Amino acid sequence: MAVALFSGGSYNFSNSFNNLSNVSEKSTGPGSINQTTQVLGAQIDPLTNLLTQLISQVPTSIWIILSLEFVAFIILAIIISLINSSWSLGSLIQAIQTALDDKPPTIRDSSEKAFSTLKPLIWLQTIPMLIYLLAVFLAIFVLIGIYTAGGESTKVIIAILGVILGLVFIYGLIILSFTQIWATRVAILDKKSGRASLGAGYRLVKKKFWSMFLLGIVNTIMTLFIIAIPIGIIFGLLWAAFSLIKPDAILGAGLMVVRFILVIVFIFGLYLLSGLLTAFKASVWTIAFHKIKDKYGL
Amino acid sequence: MGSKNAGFLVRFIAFWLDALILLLPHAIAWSYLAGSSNLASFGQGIIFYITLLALPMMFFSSLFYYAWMTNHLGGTPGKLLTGLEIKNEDGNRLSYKRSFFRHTTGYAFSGVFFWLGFFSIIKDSEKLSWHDKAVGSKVVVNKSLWPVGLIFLFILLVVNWSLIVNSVNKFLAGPLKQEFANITVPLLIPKTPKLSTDTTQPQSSLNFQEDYQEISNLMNQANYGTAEDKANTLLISAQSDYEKALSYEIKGEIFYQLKKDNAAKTQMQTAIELYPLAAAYQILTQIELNNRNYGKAIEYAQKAVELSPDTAIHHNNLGVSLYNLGRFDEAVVEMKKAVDLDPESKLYQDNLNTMQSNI
Repeated sequence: MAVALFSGGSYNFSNSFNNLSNVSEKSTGPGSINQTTQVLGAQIDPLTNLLTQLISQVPTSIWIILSLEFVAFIILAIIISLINSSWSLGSLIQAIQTALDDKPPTIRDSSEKAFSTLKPLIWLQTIPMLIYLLAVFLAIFVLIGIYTAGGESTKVIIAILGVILGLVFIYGLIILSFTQIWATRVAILDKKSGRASLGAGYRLVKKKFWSMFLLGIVNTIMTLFIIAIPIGIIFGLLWAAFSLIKPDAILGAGLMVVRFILVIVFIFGLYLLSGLLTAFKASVWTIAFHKIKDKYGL
Repeated sequence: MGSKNAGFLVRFIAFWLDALILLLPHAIAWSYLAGSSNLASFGQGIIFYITLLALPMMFFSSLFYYAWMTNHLGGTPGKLLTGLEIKNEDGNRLSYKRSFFRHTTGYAFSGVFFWLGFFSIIKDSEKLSWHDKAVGSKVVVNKSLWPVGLIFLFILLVVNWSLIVNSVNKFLAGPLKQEFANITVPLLIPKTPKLSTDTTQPQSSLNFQEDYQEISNLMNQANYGTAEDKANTLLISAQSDYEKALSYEIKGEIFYQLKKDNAAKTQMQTAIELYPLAAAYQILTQIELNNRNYGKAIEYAQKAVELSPDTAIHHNNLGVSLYNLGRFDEAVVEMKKAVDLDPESKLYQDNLNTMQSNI
């Protein structure tokens, strides 16, 4: 919609007033105002217009089919994504295990072993978190219900209870995340079902919570350390190529090529680094899993 | 069983054959869509295209074309045309699950690192890609049909290419390009603003006029802070209800320019209570249009038209408000009045054209 533009409007505006002033100066009586506004007239918004027409002209049956297809599309995408992540995690941990056994890991071997663990891994990725989130939402829903219906004193109790439950939920989330780290390895390496793996993982977390917590912190610091050096070097080179060296007529094309190569190196490097880091973290947790398992004879 | 594994080139041909076979229905649809007479029918076509072709094709290709055909026929049409067959390590056909996995997760795995998994066929001693290794499959040469595959590839390439080029040409030559530009580039706002002029001229003092003009000049310079201060002083000095109404109106206009719609609305309503000013109704119409309250906008625009029937902008605003509420015939009548009153206005002519082309 066109609104409120002054540019170019001053001529007409001033002009009409100038004429008025001239008339008024001659008049001894009260003057008159040729009342004006500088606001532009309304304009049909083409996008709104298009959307309105689309909504009204496309049959309802098409909208229903489209909605159903979108739902099916999202479900299919979730299924594929779950298969992707479970298979890649399973293969990676299998490959690490093969390497720990002093054998050369291969895609074929790791993948084949990972296939048998797809079901428990998908279960572990979805069900525990879904149940947990359901419990959280249910608790929040109940608390809100009591809070709105209750009196002043109830509201205070519910508020305190809400804070306590919030902390419990955070603690629960940490426990669940730690449990899943072990449970995944139990499912892949010990070939247990999703439920059995979750139980075994939880027992390990109960025994070694603080060790895991510390390992998690060390892991994060090490990851940052590993990531900082190469990224620093690549960023430094990129910065030098883009900021320090000013392209001129002769070096322009050459510099553009250098810049292009550096950008490619940067993307390539990031890919490589993310792969390395994933493998690094997975290895650390797998080695830790074996140590804890051996120690407690699980 | 004695078949040898297929090399990179023949698999490359087969891969692109499949891609072009699956692209063909899309290319036909794009060609049809590009010929749409206007943006509305194009948008409608896009919805139909997504619903009846794009999404079903996506399901068809992932669940049937790649997975089912590989499981039941030993390969996709592209593979079969080039004489290739996908087998598992035992020489049997892949299961449906493995086929599905091969063409979803497997392809993603091979493509994740600059398609290295596909190119690995060149170097691998068994001519296996990463997805072959991951799923335990191999692509074998059943019959040496690669020249046939190459011919089909060429034909499909030409057909798809022609259809796509035709679509682009249709789009560039037809009305869609301009209509797209109208939506994507905010060029519809005319360069020369047309000001509303109210013909009602009640009395006001000379001093008041001078002060009013000074505020107007300040607004012209976008000096809204000083303009607002002056408008407050003007209000204090206002002698009659008419002058007070004008003071509130100009103050409201300052707020409107500053995008303070609520404050502008209050000022305009106060002004109207003192004296019915068409300009105040005009601003109120625009505020309601901005907020998509079309019913209210019509109400205000009608008041403005009533007070100043010879002012084109009021008819324009009424026309736009009616149009947005779906009262198309009445909208066109008002817009025609606006054009008749101000035939040189590009804004009114554009609005009328838009209405007439879309009704």
